Amino acid sequence: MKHRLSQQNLSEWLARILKNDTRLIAPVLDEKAHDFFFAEIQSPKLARFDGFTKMSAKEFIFPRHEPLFTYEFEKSSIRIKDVEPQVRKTVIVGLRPCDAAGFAVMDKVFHWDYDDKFYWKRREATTLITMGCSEPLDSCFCTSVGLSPMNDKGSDVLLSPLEDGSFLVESFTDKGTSLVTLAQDLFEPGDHLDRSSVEQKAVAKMVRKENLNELGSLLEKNFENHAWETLSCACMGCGACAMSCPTCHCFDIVDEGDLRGGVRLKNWDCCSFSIFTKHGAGHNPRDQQFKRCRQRYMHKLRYYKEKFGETLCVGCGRCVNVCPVNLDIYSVVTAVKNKEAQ
Amino acid sequence: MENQIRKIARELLQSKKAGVIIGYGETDIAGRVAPIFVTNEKDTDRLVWNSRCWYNLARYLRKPEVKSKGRPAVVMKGCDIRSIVGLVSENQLKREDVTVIGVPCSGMVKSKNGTSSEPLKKCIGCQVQSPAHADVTVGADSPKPIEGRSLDEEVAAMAAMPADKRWEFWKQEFDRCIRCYACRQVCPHCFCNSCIAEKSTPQWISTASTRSANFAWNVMRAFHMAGRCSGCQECARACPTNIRLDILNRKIALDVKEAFNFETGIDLSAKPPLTTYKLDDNQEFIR
Repeated sequence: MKHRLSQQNLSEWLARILKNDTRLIAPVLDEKAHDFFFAEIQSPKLARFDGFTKMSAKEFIFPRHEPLFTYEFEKSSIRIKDVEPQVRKTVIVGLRPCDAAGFAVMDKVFHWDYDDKFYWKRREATTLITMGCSEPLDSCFCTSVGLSPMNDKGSDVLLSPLEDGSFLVESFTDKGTSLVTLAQDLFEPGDHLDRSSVEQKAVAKMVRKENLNELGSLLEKNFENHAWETLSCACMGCGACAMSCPTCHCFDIVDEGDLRGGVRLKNWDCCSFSIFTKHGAGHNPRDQQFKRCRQRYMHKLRYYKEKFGETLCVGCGRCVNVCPVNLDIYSVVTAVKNKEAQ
Repeated sequence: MENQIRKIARELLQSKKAGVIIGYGETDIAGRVAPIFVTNEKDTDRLVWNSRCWYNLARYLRKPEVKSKGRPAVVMKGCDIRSIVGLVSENQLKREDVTVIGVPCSGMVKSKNGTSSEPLKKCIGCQVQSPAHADVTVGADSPKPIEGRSLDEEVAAMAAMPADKRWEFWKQEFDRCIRCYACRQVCPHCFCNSCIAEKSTPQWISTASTRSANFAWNVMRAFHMAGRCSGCQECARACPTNIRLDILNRKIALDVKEAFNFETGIDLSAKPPLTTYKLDDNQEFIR
């Protein structure tokens, strides 16, 4: 079903969602950090849809650190207690289409050989309201990976900004529809509305136009290409790219405790870290930074697709924007692609 | 100045006085600049100089992939050269093993593509706009001073705040820390082969992004920088969640200056005070 929602009523809708015993997450302008981040809000006035967050919203479904179980040492045994994830009904509003698609893509790995109950409990309790993009950034390349500034992949509800300042509201799931019916009086009929014209206008503004969606065999052929080394020489091996990314999901399992007991944690990890593939015996198959960079790009554009049929990169450009040295997956991969074409 | 940099780069490569030129180049995104590594004379035209040449390229002098390209020549601002002086004084680098191409600097801007002229915080009130200790200096040397509220003013304001207000501030800052270690990776002086945060037997600090562990990491790194930090503020610039590491590191550097009359990166022959002992060391602050 399609509806129209005015700017004013959007605010009121968020207020009703809040009143419905729901945790509401939205992009806010962090005054200390002078930048946009997703955060929990208690007032709809704080929600900002005029910026692009530095970090993705994945931490609300896949937290930065998550206790899995606690353990206590007893005389000759260990007592293990499972930790049940504390989950509240949650709505994330103001995701971009790349962010929403990111969740849909990341779902595959958490539903693979093991159904990660920590991920799924939060995922199922969360409804995603996406805000389409009318003004893509020059770092954006969602169209290069099969998405678009007003794509609905992964969204429970998609809000497309229309020319008159109101929004076309489309819901794609029961979760999404129930949020609309929660405040039905705020929505006008919208079946006659269409997002294709505003979508096309936004797509026309995209600066980056290379197709990175079908590079599997090219990347395979070029694994040993020396270009990887030259192109990624600036990489310093921090984790900013992975941690800001909506689809990076690698985690490190650690036990932290003392002589009495402790907790097993699942923490965010990054394949750019030098010790990421260091074996217990000391050998490190990815012992040079360019190998780690190459692997990250391969994972995004080749390995995940081979395994799950989806490109892991959603073209949001966050990695490009947070990278301390402006290293750019789009530039590196298109350079390899073009060197190959020569 | 760009042409001068390119000319010097070409000469150094031609005469084999350098195997690699570490400098700044344009990226695919309009206006953005990134570090580049030039080993071919024909690629020297990629070298640029503009208001987004923020990066402290001294960091790359430690990178194995760069070292393997040959003897380095680096394009350096006055602030970056302070890192080289710091590294030399800690025996991490021999001064004669690198050619420093000094560039007088009128300040860098915050905006990635240069569309706004708001200066980077670290540039305001800069005292090293004319590069010292360079092997060769380009350009005419009369850079304009950079106006604004300097970092030292912010540090003084913070130091004057009561402890509970400072606690509130740093709680908010470190709660944003995601333990990406960008601060550590960009720092020229974080050269430990195995960082304390990477050790698990025993584990020194938690690697989880919790408030207490984030405090432990950030404060500990700042303490390790005491007397060594050259004030390049790359850590604060690199931080993806905009944590004010510059305030923290500068406060400690000012404390060191007061206690030992020492600032990193000015004097090539001076040793960092916390790594040396002199009989007449100031002891007044020990209570």
